[in-house]
Amino acid sequence: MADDTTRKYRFFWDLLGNIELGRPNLGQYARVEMYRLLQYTFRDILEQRFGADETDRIFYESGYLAGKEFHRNLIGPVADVNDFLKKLQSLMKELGVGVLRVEEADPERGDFIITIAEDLDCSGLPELGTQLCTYDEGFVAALLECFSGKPFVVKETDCWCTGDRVCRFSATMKKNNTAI
Amino acid sequence: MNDITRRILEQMAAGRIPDDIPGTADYADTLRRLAQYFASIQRFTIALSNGDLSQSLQGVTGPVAGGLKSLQSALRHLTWQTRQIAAGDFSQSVDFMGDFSSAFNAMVADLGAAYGQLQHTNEELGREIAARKQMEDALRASQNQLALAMDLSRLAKWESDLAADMFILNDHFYALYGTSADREGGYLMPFEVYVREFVHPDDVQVVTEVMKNALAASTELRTSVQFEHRIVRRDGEIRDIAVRFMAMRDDGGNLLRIYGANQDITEQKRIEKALSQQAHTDQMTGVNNRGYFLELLDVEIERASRYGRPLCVLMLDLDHFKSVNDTHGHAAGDEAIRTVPRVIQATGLRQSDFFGRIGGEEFAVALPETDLRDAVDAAERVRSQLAETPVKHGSGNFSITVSIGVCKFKYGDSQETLLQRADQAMYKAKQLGRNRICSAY
Repeated sequence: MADDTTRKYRFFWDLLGNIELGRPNLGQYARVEMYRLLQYTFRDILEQRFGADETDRIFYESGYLAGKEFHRNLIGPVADVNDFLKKLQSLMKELGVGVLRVEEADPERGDFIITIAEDLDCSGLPELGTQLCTYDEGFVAALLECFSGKPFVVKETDCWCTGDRVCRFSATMKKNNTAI
Repeated sequence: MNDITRRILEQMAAGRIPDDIPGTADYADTLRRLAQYFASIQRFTIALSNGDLSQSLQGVTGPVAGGLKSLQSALRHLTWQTRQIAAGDFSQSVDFMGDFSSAFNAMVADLGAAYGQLQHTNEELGREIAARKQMEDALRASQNQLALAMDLSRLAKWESDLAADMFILNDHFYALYGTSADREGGYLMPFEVYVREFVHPDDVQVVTEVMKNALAASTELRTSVQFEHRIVRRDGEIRDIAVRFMAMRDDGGNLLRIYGANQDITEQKRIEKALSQQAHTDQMTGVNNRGYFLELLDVEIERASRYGRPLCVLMLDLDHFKSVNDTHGHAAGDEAIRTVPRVIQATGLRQSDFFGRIGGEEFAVALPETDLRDAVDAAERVRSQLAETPVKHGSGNFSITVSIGVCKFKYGDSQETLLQRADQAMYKAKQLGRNRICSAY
């Protein structure tokens, strides 16, 4: 891999830019369809080039990177798991990412089941017969790892694209503590 | 479509799941999958309606199942939130669930406010309890100190139950009186029983009078009384008791309560008596010293002066006392001095007569209710008895004599003038040869 500091597209938070400066008239918000147009055209080309599995891995790792930066810049230190989940829920609602709900949360055992309704990626998509939110899987895995200090594996079990109406994610702490 | 298929479809359209789909039905496999789908949805829905959130529709897809799973997800989240609220987190809120959100969030807000109020009340209560406990501890310490002080000072407190006309006593009190609650039949005792059983017969009147006066009507809200009397303990011992009590009244003068404490002052009295005796007594001879003799004489002079009663004084002085000391030694001289009061007492002084050592070898005798002739006779008895009484000293004896001046009180006499005349008479006896009596008029 190329030297990380010289890569052309190395991510850093400031790369998100000064929206106020850049869009004094149109402001912070854009239509969800435009976001999805960007994402799903990416998927299409990536799949053509590298196959579906590799594309899913790329999106998982991208979501993981995003989750780490999101935690570092927007969540920060929290008192406990309850505080963490409330902060996350509030941010996701405020940023329009989705409506986060918790079905189970056991930080001791390292088991979580969370749902995201009105998910930014997939809510309202046609039924495709498969889960699509691999980016979200990586995103959630990174958030849980940043909170607990332990790596997690996250799998989407229900998705709008499988006909469900919420995206359900099952997160389990990795037992051998190896990072992804 | 055959009839079997039609019947199965009509059943499903009516919302019923067929028990059996025979292989002869058209699209039998598809119908069976459809029936299984309905059955899964039905089980899941029934479980949800019974509050069972554990059922899974894993593998069952489509919008219908998706909608139900979304509902299950919302209920599970609510359950999780309810647990957080129960643990004290009142910041939980429900979003995007319409009227339920409003009602639930309002309920949580009210719960939070009530909880906050309760916590505040609890904290205040905690502070109040701590303060009260401090006060109780201080009170207990104070009571213990008081009990200790009372114990050390042998104070036995008591109070009256006026309604029952009883005194309320305690173990301390009974200990002072050499008895116990078991022996006396409890801690309540009528006043007359106390007087009959414990007050010294000679002091009954005093005690009864004091209590009667204390119970009498008064405008004073508090009346404080203290007096002393003797008691007879159950073991027969007589003790001196100091009684202090306070009678409390209401605005109408009605007696409310009497609080008192008795103290055994027997030892104190004994010491006082000893000190008094010491203050009044001549160390060498044990008789009244000059100061006390003169005090007593003043009383008799006052009585004689007021009532015109006869009073005589004898002044005695040992003859040749210096020679006694020089010849026999100072110890012999002291023994000679000690002999004089022994002889005076042996000559039969009456109870009203008294005497004292008023100088080195000088004694005075006061004889109330005595005229001059009888005083002279008394003086002669002393003189002759003394002359015949050898003074024992070492292995030998020696004799002593006295010169006595006798003087009768005249109206207008003071202590000084009376004693001066007696002294002058005594000196005249010396001049006339000693060992004799001279009178002054």
